[in-house]
Amino acid sequence: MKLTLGKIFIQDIVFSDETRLESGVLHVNPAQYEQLVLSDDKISSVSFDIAKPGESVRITPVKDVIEPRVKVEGPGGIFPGMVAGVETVGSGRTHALSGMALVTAGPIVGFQEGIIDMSGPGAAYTPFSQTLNLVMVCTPKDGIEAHEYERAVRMAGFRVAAAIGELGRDVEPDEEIEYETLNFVEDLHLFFDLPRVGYVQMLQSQGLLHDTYVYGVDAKQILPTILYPTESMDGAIVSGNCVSACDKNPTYIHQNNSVIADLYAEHGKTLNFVAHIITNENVYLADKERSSNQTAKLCRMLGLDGVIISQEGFGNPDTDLIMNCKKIEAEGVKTVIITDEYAGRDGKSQSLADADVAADAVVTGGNANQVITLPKMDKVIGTLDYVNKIAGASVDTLQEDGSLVVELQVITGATNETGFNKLSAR
Amino acid sequence: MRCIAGKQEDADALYGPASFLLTGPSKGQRGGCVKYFVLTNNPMVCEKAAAGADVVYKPGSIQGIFEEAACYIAQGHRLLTHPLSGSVKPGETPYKSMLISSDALQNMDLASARLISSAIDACGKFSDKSGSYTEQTLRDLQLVDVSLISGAMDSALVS
Repeated sequence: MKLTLGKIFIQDIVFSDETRLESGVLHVNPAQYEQLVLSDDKISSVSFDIAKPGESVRITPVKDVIEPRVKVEGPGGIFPGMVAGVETVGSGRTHALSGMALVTAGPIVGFQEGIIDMSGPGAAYTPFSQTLNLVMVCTPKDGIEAHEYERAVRMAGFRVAAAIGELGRDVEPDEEIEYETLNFVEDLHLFFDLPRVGYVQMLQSQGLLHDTYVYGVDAKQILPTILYPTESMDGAIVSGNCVSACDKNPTYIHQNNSVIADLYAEHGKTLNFVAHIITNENVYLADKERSSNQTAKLCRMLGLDGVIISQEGFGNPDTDLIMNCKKIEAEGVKTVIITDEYAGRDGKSQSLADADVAADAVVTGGNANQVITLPKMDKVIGTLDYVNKIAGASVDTLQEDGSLVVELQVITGATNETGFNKLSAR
Repeated sequence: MRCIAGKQEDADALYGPASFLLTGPSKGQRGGCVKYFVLTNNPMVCEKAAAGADVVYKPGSIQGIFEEAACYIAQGHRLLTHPLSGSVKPGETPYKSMLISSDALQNMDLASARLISSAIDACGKFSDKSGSYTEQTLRDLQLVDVSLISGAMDSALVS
């Protein structure tokens, strides 16, 4: 399977009477997208705003971050199973509006959404301070349940992102990257002398407001399976969760998965990137056993020499992470795990809720309990009404001078466990 | 689900000491291949969990419910769900529900003991915000907990 990803570098976003993409500038008429959002009767109103790198702007509560893309050639459409059909994606040609993001915001459950600061010390911790952000704040109808609101905002985000992505269909990209994964027989012959490496991605799937979708299927219902690594670039995996902001994978991160990008960069040179294996992180312990057994089996079936395993979240997923690591190692396949740490505010506590001697190669995304002070910003997009309640904040978070004393947990993407962040340790 | 106030001695006889039984003594009446009861401090579990489940309701803190689970595990019961289920951390949610095997083994299940010990340790890592929540936020947190445990109960039916 071969995908050409054409990146159109977005230089600026401006509001305009007419929506168009011209010379790298995205002109947006918000009224054009309001009806796309309000077509869901769970949402009573929507407002759009723009946040640019370096501005004194705070966005909160952030639900999802999405990169607008369009399928130009090849089967299917972006976000299959959600706003496109269920054809298998990942081949042909896709255009991405690179350097920008659609950020959806709203107080879904009042305690699990994140913060993006566009400047100041907080900006250094989130990759989304570097993107031009079109922010979509959705207000729910009175009386609807949190999970109904989550679904409404999630789907509205995909509809608007797909519509914006469409503007790039006929635009000549600034950069093109080709990604190709051969079938197992072909790559075995071509790269016979290179180590066979896979990527095991654990998807958040614990239940309501903790879900991830694969081609529209709730990931907690899947058995571990194999994807071409290019499928996620076309939105085959999307976020549907409202978990801690620092280590959840927004849809943007699924589209731009760092592990996949780095493995492709070495593909055919130092290693043979064989497959993207996805598995889940369920609550029921027997589900964990089943999924980790199947994941280890797939690694063996594929004749892998090594895998990188990334998790999403903390606590419950730590057990899946260690089960996967132990069982895959027991099949003779070397593992490197990527996690973050909840090591307490002083960094002295046990970092993970589970451990094993097999987990002897670990990459960390940072300590989510680390405390920082975020100075007051001139402008807030969204609301600070919930800022004392989100994960990583406390009743003392909002200071008299408007600054926030928080743990890194509150910052979207701060300790991301696919490496799509700026923290680590050596 | 029947959620009636039972007698303390009923709970003690069924599952050991220090619990308050809210359901009738219908041990193992559901659960497919796995017989279990729900240990919870979430009042919404009594309203919304699937019919037929046994529920041991023990009001109190999340650390208290972990320590209660540790007592059952010490008596040979097995933990069937992860105690740190959900992204909402100890201190950030006041509610936790767990599935615990109705049957007790002769020897303590070491995997269960390790998980609950780790969960109790985790309580010290997070600041307690539960006193600052509005009624709506508390209801959201209860609903998330109910959803997580309901999903596990569905899994128990087919495991």
